[in-house]
Amino acid sequence: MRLIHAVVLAGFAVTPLAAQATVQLSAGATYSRPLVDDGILDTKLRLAVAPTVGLAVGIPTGSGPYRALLEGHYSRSRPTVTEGTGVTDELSSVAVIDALLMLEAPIHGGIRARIGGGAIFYQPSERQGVFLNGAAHRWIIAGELFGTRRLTDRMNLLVTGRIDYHEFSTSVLRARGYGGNQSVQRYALSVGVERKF
Amino acid sequence: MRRLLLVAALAGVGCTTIASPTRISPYEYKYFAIDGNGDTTAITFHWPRSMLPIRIFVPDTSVLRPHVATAIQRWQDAFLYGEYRAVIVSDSNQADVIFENNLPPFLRAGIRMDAMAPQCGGATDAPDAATHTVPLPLHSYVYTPLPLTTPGLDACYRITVTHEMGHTIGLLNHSPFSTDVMYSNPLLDGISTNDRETAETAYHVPANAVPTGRR
Repeated sequence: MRLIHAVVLAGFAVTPLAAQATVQLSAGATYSRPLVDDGILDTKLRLAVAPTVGLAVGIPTGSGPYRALLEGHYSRSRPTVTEGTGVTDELSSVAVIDALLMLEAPIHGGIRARIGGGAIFYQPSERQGVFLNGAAHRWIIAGELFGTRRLTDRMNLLVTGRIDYHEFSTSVLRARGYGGNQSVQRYALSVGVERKF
Repeated sequence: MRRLLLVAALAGVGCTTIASPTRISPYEYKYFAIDGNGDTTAITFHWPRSMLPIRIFVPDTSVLRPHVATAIQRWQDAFLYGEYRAVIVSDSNQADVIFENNLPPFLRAGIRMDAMAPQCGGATDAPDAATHTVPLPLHSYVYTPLPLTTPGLDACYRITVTHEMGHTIGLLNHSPFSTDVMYSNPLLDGISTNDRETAETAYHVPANAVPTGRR
């Protein structure tokens, strides 16, 4: 464990990030746990691993090393249906957009963490199945851990791991008697750049 | 360290599963017939996902065409997980299902409405009980003995096409309830909760008949 820690720290040479305004662009992939795990129909609906792009704007909060960020991510993938018999099928694609307000704090050297929340929006390309009534949105909480490596005086390289959580349901599911919500965790990895101002 | 724990805790936060409702008792959707051994057999059928979308032919000029499009939408919307999807195709040679605005051929085995609605009637090919197959293309017939200007004919066509399409998706019997579109003499211009839940049930139990012929 210590060895891993040492490698991570060596990879992301200490880059003192005095809190300052930044813009970050990133690209990566997002894996999502099932949106619906239907115990009666023995069917799972999940989004395929989705290419993801992100944009964040960081705003310093006073003189400390903390800052607030407005963050958004966009991904698109096709929901996969898996039946109890093992049969799988793909449905029309769904765009997933999240908008987050995050608070960032240093952890150690170039390693920093963010935590926050916001909203997640599902925008289907076709009104179909659980998205028969169109778009759906839910509240979301998220946590990120990322490392930075200095490229130039104003640019940093970022490697980010993100976990978020929301409770999924749609108006169609509720109308058809589905109770409660499905806990959905998403895991994302991305690489990006940060421009300081 | 606390911050790290906070972030890590997100990985394990909440593990609730959505509560799927139990479907009310569906009506009988199986087709009962005499098999090759002279025994009564119950046939269940639904389209395999590998064949979706189902290809449906109805002539461009047919009075049934808009009603076929409506019926496709209605039955697709009944399902939550894309179990049934269909498209209208322009070539009858490529079709899995053909809708005709004619009387069914004499003596052709079919699931027929017990009583003809006031303005129109319908029938759909029955599965082959001896071989437990559904020979493709399936034919559905929706017809009227009355002039096309008869009041109410348009609604009768829409209801009857939805009913016959219900047979083609795998509801191979009639509902005993007059509030369902799969009632033998349907009045409902749409799909009831009972119809929807019966269709969902039919698509989530194994089928014992398979489509044969084309594809």
